[in-house]
Amino acid sequence: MVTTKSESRPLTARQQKGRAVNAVAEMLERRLAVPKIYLEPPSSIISADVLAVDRAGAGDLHAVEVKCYRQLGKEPSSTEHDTETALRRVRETTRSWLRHLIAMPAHYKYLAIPRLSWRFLNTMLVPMLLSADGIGKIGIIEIVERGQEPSTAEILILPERFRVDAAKLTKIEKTLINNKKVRPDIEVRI
Amino acid sequence: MGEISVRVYHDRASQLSNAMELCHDDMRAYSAAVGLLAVHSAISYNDAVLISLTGKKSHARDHKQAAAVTIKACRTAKIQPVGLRHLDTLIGAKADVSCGNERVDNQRVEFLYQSARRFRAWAESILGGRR
Repeated sequence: MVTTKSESRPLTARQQKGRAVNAVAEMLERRLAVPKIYLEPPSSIISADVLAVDRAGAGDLHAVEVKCYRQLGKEPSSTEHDTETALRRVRETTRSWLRHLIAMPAHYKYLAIPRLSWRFLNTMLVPMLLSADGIGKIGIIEIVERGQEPSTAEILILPERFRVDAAKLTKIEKTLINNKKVRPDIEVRI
Repeated sequence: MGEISVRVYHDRASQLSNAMELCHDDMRAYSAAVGLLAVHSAISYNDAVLISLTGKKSHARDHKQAAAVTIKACRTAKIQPVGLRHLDTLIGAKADVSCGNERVDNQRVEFLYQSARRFRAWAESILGGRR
């Protein structure tokens, strides 16, 4: 087997995130109906890593925040690293991401993260996903890195629909979805 | 008729289209199903678009006529009927994929699949805001 120089080099944080973004986009493309998908859309419009608009741009907005191990701090694996201190630190980090997501104008919101322990998911993450008024719940996507193979994304916790402020939605529609100058990164061309 | 019918036809079209996607994941096993679902999902989408624009379903027995009615409805509603060329392609293949005596080759099925997806994208862009 020939190992090229680039294969042996570890991925940069940017590359790692980019692969995760691609995996999430591919998963949403399959789950939604002919969506328009924007990879890392302008943060002045919506600060999500992936924005998918269902039904050819006429349907609900699905926004995803993608995070890698490095952004979590120490990797909370399910074994000996799974200490209370590490979990608490990860919980604080994810809490701030969830706050950011809650404020995002989208009907469905997801946090895409690398594989974490079930204990962390069930005891610490799940109670933080529901919105304060109960209308809307953030979904969790698990990113699995597979070396040279493309990363995969899978929904671990299904999201529930949020209400969206009409003025914010109109702004996104005007400046992004219905703006002929901005083309989505993934779409079914008519 | 109006709202309820749009939903019924839209849901039917959507389900047929989703089934087409599932079958397309295993083209070797389900290519005939992909072709059939491509045509029928498009016919259902056309019905849904027509009902959403006019409140009425076409009673034409010939699907080509139904497509012509949709073009007219689009003109009245000032909507570009750009997606309807794909419907034309699909309706043209209906006899072959649903009751033809010969196997439709995978290359043609793939073309019909892509046409159905494009027609769906056009139809959804109209139906999405009207549901």
